[in-house]
Amino acid sequence: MNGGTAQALRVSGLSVSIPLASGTLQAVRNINLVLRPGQTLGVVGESGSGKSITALAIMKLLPPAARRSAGAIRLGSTDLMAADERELAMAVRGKRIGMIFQEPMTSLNPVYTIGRQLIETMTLRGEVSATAAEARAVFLLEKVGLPDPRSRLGQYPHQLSGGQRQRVMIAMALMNEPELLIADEPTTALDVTIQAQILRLLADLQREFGMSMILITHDLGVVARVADRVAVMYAGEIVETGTVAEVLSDPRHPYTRGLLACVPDTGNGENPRRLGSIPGIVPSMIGDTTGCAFASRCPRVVARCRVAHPPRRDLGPERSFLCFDPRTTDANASAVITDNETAVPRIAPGATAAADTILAVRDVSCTFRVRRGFFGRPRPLRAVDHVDLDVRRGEVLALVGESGCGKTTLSRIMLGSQRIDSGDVMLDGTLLSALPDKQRARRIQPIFQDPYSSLNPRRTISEIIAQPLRVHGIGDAASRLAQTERMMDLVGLPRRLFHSYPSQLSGGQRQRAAIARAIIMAPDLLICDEPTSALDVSVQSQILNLLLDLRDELHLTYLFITHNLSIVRYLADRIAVMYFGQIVELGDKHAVLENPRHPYTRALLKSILSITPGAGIPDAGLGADFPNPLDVPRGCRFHPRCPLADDRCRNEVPQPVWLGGAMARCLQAYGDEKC
Amino acid sequence: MKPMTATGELAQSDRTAAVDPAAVTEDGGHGLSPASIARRRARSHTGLQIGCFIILAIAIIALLAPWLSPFDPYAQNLAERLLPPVWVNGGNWTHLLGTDHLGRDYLSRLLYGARVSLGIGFGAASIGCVIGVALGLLAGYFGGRIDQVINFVLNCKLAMPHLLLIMALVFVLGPSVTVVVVVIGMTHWTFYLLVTRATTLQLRELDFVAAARAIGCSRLQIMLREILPNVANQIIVIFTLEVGNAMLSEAALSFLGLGVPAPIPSWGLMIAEGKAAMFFRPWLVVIPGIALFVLVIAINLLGDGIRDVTAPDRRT
Amino acid sequence: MLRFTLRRGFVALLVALTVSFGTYFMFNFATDPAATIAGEEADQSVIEQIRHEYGFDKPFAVQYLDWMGGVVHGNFGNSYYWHQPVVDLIKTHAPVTIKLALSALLVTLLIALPLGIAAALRPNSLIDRFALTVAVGAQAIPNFWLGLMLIVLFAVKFPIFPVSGGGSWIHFVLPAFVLGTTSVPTVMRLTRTGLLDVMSADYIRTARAKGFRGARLIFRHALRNALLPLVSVLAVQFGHKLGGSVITETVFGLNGLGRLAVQSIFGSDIPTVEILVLIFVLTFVILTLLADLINAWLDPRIRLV
Repeated sequence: MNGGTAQALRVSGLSVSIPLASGTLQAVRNINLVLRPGQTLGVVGESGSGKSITALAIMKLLPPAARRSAGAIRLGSTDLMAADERELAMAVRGKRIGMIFQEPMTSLNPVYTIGRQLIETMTLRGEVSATAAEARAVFLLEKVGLPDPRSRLGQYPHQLSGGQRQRVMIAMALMNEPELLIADEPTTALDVTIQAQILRLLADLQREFGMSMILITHDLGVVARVADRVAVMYAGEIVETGTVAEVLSDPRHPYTRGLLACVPDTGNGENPRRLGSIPGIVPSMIGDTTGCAFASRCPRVVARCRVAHPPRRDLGPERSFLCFDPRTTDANASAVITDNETAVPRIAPGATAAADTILAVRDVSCTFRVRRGFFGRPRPLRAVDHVDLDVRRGEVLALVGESGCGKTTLSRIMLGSQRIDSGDVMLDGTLLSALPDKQRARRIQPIFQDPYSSLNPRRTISEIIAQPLRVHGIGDAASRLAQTERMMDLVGLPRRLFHSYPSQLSGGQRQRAAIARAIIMAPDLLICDEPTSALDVSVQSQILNLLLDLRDELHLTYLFITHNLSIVRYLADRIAVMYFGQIVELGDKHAVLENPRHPYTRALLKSILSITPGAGIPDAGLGADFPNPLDVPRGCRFHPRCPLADDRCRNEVPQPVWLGGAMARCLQAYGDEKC
Repeated sequence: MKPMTATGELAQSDRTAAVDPAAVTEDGGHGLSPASIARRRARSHTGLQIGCFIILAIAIIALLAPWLSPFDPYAQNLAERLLPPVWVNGGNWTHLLGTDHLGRDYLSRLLYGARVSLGIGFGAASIGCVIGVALGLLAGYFGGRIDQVINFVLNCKLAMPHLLLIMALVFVLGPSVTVVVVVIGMTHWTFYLLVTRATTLQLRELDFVAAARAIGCSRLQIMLREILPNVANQIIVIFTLEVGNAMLSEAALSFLGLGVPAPIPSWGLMIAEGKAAMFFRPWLVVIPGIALFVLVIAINLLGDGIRDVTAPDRRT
Repeated sequence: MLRFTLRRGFVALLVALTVSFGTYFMFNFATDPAATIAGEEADQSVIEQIRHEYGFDKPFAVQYLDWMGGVVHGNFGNSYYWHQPVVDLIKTHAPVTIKLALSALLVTLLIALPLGIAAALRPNSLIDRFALTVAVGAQAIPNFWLGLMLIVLFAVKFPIFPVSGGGSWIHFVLPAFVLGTTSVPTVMRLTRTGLLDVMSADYIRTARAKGFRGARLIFRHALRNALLPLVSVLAVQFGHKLGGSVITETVFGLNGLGRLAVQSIFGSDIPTVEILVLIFVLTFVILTLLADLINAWLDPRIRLV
């Protein structure tokens, strides 16, 4: 790399190793990074790729046991490798480099006010007076879009929402006008509509203050919209780097190609083929590793990949990738990585108008009593408010909404595990509540979001999968064993995991085990609550493909709860959009996605970050944050955030309106879209 | 007080343990099972090994006391009262540790005393374990009214000075070994309750419990088969610590004259009996005290060791 | 806040009533108060007369309500055993216990806090190992035996401290040490794990990213969070010291409430036992309530909604 222009940051030969009980983990292996002033570098990778460790290593904020080595880490003209702890703290951290972390909920000190935490960032070094710092804090809080900044200074973190806290974190990172901003997954913990807002804010502020930025993320969409250049990390190495346009439109490394193939196409139009996926899981980088770390998952692997470290191939200044494969310009190669099964077009079953209803939710409400704070009086929180919803046999019904909208409560109601205040849930014409637990269990099964908590850590995989048979007293030991093995084959779990414990499996494998447990009694309806949101992109597509295959094979019906609209486009037949305890839009996939009636649905669709380099960050056009669920707005519940809201919306409660086979709960739905 | 954060923390720590690449290797399934991780850690845990060794040794001595002890621990010999141990001037090899104020062989009484301490310790800790774990599971799993009632009982228990409560109960029921075991057991359950309840509160929110419910498991099945095995490690740790505490309570009771009734050899009673002569014959107090101290330390080392060995991975 | 305090106060009162009723029931059930008052050599007719005079032949619930009514009106009754008003007994015994408990708490804090903080800042270091050893040792040592050993040591070998009695502050040094060590393991371990947890929290990483380090990091960002759980535990420990100094008071011959309680139990002295139980329980519930309020004051998440 020999760029002649100025460099904001240059990292050469950075390695980080972390000693663990079972050996030394090579978390980051000999990476080089160059960042020009004013540029944004996106660092992309799945969990365990070493991307966060890289960020922490630059700041020397690594866990105590970790060991860092590097040729040099040059920030402007300063070598950070040569600086001691005191110099780093005084002159670099928080001063020349600002950092934003992933978890806004836990990254602020809960016992001190926002003001104190902002101000001390400047006064800490004794160079700035408290008044000057306070003025700067107010200025920045205004900049990051927090209304009434002066009164915010006296507030505590828990009094702010996640999005607001992340804004405070950003303001805090900017207090000393740093030349470099490192943002580690700054929007991962936030809702989609908030994500777009925060990314816009970051991009705007970066331009305004002329900072360089390193943006660490797992989301190729985020990189596509925000970054200038991208570095793709895999197993502690940068496997490919270049400008965003180059890398995303012409990926050279098989891993980059695989990642891109895994992302559901978010452009308009049908998605006929199966998602691509990368088989296997990220190898552990413990001890000495020989050969290419990607070899075990690579479709183009050859013998030498396993024995020798691949060379870096330069395609131009600051554009390179790490691979033996000389076929650098093979145009067809993007199709190489699909599932091992052939790319069968999905058979869309006739799950439309004629299909019968398997589960019917009729005017269901559910209220919790929530105590605000320790001393507060419990108040009612209506999580689900007069909801009607049909699940039709054989379809995939997607339930979409942001956190706190009541979608999980609704799913638990449909599972029969949540008591309701009023209304009926009917399973094939029978009241769900009247059905004995065990009969219900044979018809409806759940799949949960977090594969780390959905399996009992004290049971082996075979015990977990066979548990329903045992509880229901189905078959004898031998037949259960046979059935368990059949299920493991069906979901693609290797037989040798039979006696393993959940902690010995990867996230994807655990989710497969959870699926096997759910289908072993051949239920009709699976209720999947964000089953892939805890998984990496490449694993997510494996699981989505598996779910679709199983549906075709076992004639299953899915209620699929998600916040991710690109998954919805890939897999749903119908879509229900939920906001504040109500279904605000419901209809056929095409109707909802191509012609959304409700402004909230439109905002959600706009917030999708598809992989379109240079497309800029979309503006969802939503005001404010998700309101406090205890304070239900008058009139239309969406009006405080709605761009279309008028006086009528503020006073009148909208009723469901059916327009061309789709339902919308919006007062503006008539005039706008009726044609 | 803050179950929400606690749940979050558990899920978090679970996850760090799970993502630890040490547990998942190239194509999965080659990592270590929880039991083998514990075994591997135990092999390098000195405290655990020392504790184990001492307890085993004392347990064997207690079992073999009738064969090991040179004299009948009840046999008085007023002619040979208050003999010093062998290493003090005037001691002899017949009575290695000397004799007490009634001329009973101190070594024999010490050996038999181990039986009393171990028996009362394990017996009382078991009684407390059953009470505390049962209440904790109920309170944590059901919550609501049941939790409130159990919490009230707990508050009443905590508000009473511990030793006074035991003393009053023993006084009312009349001292005997059985009464001492039962009373100490009935008063040593708070720690089990607190920990079981807190853990159950966290566990019941986890998806594997929801999955069990969705399968159709009964509440009893969920409590006993899903939740209890996940609390077991912590219960074992508390059990060992409570064995130590029960032994100390027994000794204190006997010291105050409300424990094991007189001729039975108990280390606490031996200290009490030796107290009168302690300025001139300190060994009467030192010897049983050290025995008690060593035994309780060994048990606590064992408990701490089990906790370290079974704790989820923690990266520092 | 007020609502909370009132609710907690009500529960506290309920706890106190339940415990006192339980004790009353237990002692009345198991002992014959008339026989106690009459003394050992009294004949049956005297006992019967006393039984009638004192109302011991009335239904049990009535007796308890009578007694409770007296207490509410400030009449704490007379001791059957000491033959003097219970109030006087309390007045003479309480100061010793309060002094002992306070000085023991001080000993606990002086040993446990520095050790716990030092151990947390350097995990697995020499000081950490030392702290752990102290904790394991202090947990396992029978405290009456520790008391006796100190007496032997300081009475015979180094006569610096008096071995019994409660005349001046110097009399309290050994008892306070013995009573104080009992809480050291709990408080020390809690300080250590609390601080360790906080030091690995996300907001500490944020503070480091802002440029905090060393002592400043700990005092400005970690300590307050780490000490939050300690408040409740200290309240419980202090409560137990006020009521649980039976052993220490007995070993060192201090005339405190604990010793009074033991003697009253042995003497089946129901009025004294009852009042002592009330005092112990009320002190305990008030202390824990206080701890919750202090926590609320320290932790804005509790204080503010």
